[in-house]
Amino acid sequence: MTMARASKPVTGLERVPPAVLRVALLGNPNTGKTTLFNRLSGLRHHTSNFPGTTQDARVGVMHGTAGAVHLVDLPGVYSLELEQTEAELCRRVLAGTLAPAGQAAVAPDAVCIVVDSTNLARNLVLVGEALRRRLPTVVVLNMMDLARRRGLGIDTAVLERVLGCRVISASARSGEGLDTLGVLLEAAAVPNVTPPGSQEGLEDWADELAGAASSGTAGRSRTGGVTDRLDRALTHPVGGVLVFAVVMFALFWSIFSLAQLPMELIETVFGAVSAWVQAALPSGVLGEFLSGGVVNGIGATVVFIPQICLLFFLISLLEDTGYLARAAFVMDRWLRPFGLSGHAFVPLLSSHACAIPGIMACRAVPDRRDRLATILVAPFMSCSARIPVYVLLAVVLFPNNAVHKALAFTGCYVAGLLAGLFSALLARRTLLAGAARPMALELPGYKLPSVRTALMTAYDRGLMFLRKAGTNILAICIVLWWLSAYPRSEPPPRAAELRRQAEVSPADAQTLNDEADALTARSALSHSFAGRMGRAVQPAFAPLGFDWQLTVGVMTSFAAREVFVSTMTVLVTGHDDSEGEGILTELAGAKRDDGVTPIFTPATSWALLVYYVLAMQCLPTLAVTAREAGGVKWALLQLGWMSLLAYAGGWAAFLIAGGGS
Amino acid sequence: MALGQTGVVCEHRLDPADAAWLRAMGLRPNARVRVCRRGEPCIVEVLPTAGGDGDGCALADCCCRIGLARPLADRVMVSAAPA
Repeated sequence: MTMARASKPVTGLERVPPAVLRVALLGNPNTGKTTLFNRLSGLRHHTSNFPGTTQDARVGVMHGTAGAVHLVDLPGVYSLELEQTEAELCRRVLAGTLAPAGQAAVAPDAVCIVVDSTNLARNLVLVGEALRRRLPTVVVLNMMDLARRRGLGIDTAVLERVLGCRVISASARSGEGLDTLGVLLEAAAVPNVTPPGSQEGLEDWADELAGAASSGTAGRSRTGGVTDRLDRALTHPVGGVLVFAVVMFALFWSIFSLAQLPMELIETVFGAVSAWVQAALPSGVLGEFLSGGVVNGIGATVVFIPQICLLFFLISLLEDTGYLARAAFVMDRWLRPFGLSGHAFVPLLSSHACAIPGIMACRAVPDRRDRLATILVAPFMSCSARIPVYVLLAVVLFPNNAVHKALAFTGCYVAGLLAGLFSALLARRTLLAGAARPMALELPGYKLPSVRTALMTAYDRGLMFLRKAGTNILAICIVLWWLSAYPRSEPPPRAAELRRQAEVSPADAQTLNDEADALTARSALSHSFAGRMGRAVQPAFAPLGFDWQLTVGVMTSFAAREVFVSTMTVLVTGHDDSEGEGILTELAGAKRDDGVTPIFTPATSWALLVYYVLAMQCLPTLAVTAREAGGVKWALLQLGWMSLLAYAGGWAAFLIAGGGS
Repeated sequence: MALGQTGVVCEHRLDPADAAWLRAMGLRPNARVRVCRRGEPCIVEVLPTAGGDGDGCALADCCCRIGLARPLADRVMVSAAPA
């Protein structure tokens, strides 16, 4: 086994390194490129995007001997010549016509090509394609520890001689062999060789070179038998589905249970800060704005962080084990008839927690049309924000029957899923015409996951969510607060009377003041812009049986579904203590303006339930859709289609439930 | 082909994009493959051509494993290597 380093530097066009060296990290998928990036840059990195694309641009900084080295983590590609978004992006970065946002579009000072040592021949094809670009190059033979364990040896001197650039053997996971990488990158020279131009010639060249540089033990793969058995079990039509169900249940159980505590903590902290701001500032517009708009708005954003970080942490672990590639095949055969690929399942399942990380997870869907179809239907999955609405309406519809409540709940989830699949089918027959691209996926070897990589992924995704979606959510919360709080109105006479009674009757003061507060809040919301809009828009929702109060609830929850219950609570009871005991019963018995007709008649409740199963009602999701799909038109299409389905479905439910009679 | 049998990719009836994609992953004409799973999905191990010895290869662990959905696998013709 030989892993000798060349005794002297490879000759080439020597150069003086610039003060800040810009290095592009290139490699096949599953070569440990991101692990290497994380190892080299640690937390000294940020994620932006490549202008005009939805592709992440991860830029990290490592310290070289002559100054900072800026690393750009390019997407993993099998070939630079493929007609594929990721390959085109790599071509443009290497050609100097594209750079991460905020950086000048010039060719990188050096290319660091990450090669999987256990799959040398195929990886060398990409190396050859990169060498044709005539850029200073260093090749990193990653996973050498794994190669050694398999009895493989690679002679780096042979590779350096043929490739005309420096080659080091390393392990990104352990950090082995990376000490000199910074120096080598600074000294990298333009290779003095040109690989064959034709694809066939390049493949033969790569095969020959791999054969010449490699040595190892003869015989059948020692891992093949175990891997074969695992693959057959994990992709089995029945067994594979069962394993997948268990894994996914564990994943989502972890997200819901482990995120609970930090989420409660975040809510408590922001609640305390909001109260402190309100108490510290004199009563008035500024205090209410900072407390109700800014602090609560930021809190509403930050509260999602634990779920998002956990989701991506666990998905990264699963991906690293090699299981996720197998799971994609398990679901592929179920989703393909609806025009979705197996890659879509994790995003769709993630959307049951929250559509935002679900849509962000669609980046793992390689085909553009498959990805767009998945993004468009992800919000049909019943997210956690719908649960308060489902609970309220289940209580209204089946106050004394737990089994019926559970069935209604399950039905909501199934209806959302079916609506999503139906919509995907429709999209693939019209706008995104064509069958789902049959899956062909490399199945990486099974291995223990890297916790470090998973933590970095979670950190990265959390930060990205805060920076991008967070700004949208905050803006929405502020606008919603303003619409609900303005214009100011005088307290109703009854409230003033109750306060006078409280002054002369100290024993009942608390109760009377609470009642006065409730009346004031209800009156304020009723006279606010949101309330006025509710009355103006109510005729449009009349076919679904909604009165102005329900219309206000639907409108205010346009920004976020969960707002519906708190809005209805404010309207009906005058306070927003939606957690209060008996509040659901109180809401269920609430009356309309005539004082006789319930707000929630059975027909109206069915209409409302169907409406919320199908409606978009989440502006942050629309903002993320626009960003991830690459245009506002996709978000508008999603909004229009889901609203249309929700309205039609609600109307049909109202009529079927006898609302029209 | 039987489970565990090796063969050589001889032709395909794929559209150019899929053909290019598979080729880039290593599943190209004359590539030696071993069948790890038949059916849906079909899983094959692409064996390196360098140093081959007819049964397996000199670098038996130096290979990659590719899963193919049935519609794709049905369009890739492999001639079985003699037993």
